[in-house]
Parts: sequence; C-alpha cells; structure tokens
Amino acid sequence: MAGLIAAAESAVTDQKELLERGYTSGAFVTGNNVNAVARGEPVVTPHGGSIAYGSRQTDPPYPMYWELGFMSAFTGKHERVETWVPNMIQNRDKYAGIFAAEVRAVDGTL
Amino acid sequence: MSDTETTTGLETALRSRLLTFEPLAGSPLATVLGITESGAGSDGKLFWDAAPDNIGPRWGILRLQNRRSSGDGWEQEVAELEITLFARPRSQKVTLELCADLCDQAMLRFRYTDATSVVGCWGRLRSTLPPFTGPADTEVVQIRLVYSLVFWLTYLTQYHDS
Repeated sequence: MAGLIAAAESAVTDQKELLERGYTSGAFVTGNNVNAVARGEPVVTPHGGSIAYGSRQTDPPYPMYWELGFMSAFTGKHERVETWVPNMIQNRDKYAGIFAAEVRAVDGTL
Repeated sequence: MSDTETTTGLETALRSRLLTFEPLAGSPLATVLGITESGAGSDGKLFWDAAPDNIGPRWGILRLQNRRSSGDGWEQEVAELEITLFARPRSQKVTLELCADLCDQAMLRFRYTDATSVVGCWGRLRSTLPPFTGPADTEVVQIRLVYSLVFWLTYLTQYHDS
C-alpha cells in the first residue's frame, strides 16, 4: 500500500506543477484548479491493488474540459490542452520505479 | 488501403477506413458527417488534430495519442486513436450518435497486414459527454471514441534483422 501511495503522491505533485503553468494564456489557471488535484486511498481487489488520483474540481469540471477539449463560447474555437494523460504516459516508468523502491524498502525492514 | 510505411500512411489509412466503411445498412460516415466544399474535409469532415472554424453542424477531430513501444523488440507500438465527434446545436445529437455507431462499425473488424506492416484494433471506449457549461458552448454535443491500436510499421520493422 505504501508503494501505491508514494507513486500517487509523486503523480499528484507532477500534475500540480503542470497545471500551475496554465493552459493557453494562463488566464484560466486558478488556485482551485491546482489545489483540487488529489489522490484517493489504495484499493485491493482480486486482481491486485490500485490507487486513483484526479481532480476534485467537478462543478463545473473545468479540468476535464481542457483535457478532452471543448468549443469555447467566447472564441468560437476548439480549445484543448492535455496534461493528465500525457503526464502519466511520460512518467509511468518513474511511478513504477517509486512503487518498486517503496516495496523494496518495506520488505527490507521485515 | 494506403501504405503503412510511414506515420502519414497510417493516418491516411485510418481516416479512409472511417470515412469509407460501408455499413450493412445505411450510409458511410462521410455521407452522414458531411463534407466541405474544398480542403481537407472535402471527402468527409474528419480532421487530424484540429478542425477549421465554423465547420458545423457535424464534424470530428482525430488524434493518434500516446504512441509507445511495446514488447521486447520495440518495433511493436501501441497507441490510442481518439475520435472526438462534435455537433451543434444539441438537436443534432441523434445524428451524431449515428456517426459514432458508424465509427464503431468501421473499427470493429479493422485489421490490416502487408509484407512488413500489421495494424489492428483490439479495444474501444465510447463516452457521450454531458453538456458542458460556460466557458464551453452549451449547445455542442460531444462524443469521445477511443480505439486501442497495435501496429508494426514498415519504417521500424525494416530494421528487424539488422
């Protein structure tokens, strides 16, 4: 469980850093958007353990709009800046490494 | 199907498959989605990465996302083909769902092989997104389709024995 939490904490930190840079002009970045990034608790299923992280900003879900793209009522254009999925794809080995290191550390104390 | 020696060839093949697939009943996607008088949408309003302005009432944007190596040799790639279908106003929803049905049909048995390339689809995800609120245009219907692809393209497999 500690490995999952450590990996998720790292992912949350990376995601917050990405969102702090803003989307396009930066005018749409709010502290709420950044602070809404959070992880859940580890879940154990018959298929193994997992942990989720995401945005708690759901009303309205502005981060989802930017991630999936939307037609802007103001500009009349399609707007999209992806951060969540690219971050996970690019850093998946890093998070797996954090998970593995934590597991090794815990095993070493047993 | 066009050649899959390069990424451009793969993109052409995927777009062509979607627009021209003949369903058992009804019209192909290009007919239902519509075409533009000229330009990239003249054979169907599916655009790679971005669409022209004021292209309505129905259109789609294609993305080949998250390409990554898979397997031992690194010649194999997996990726997601994302199709986001748009329509405006919301009265277009029924027709847009039909467009999504046609995409699903086109990708359902999609397999392509030649001497040095293999392309296949092995999974799909479909989400009709809820109406967005401002600053998004609330009259837009948006359907997101994601197809899981696996491929071996010639520009990499040609080095298999080297």
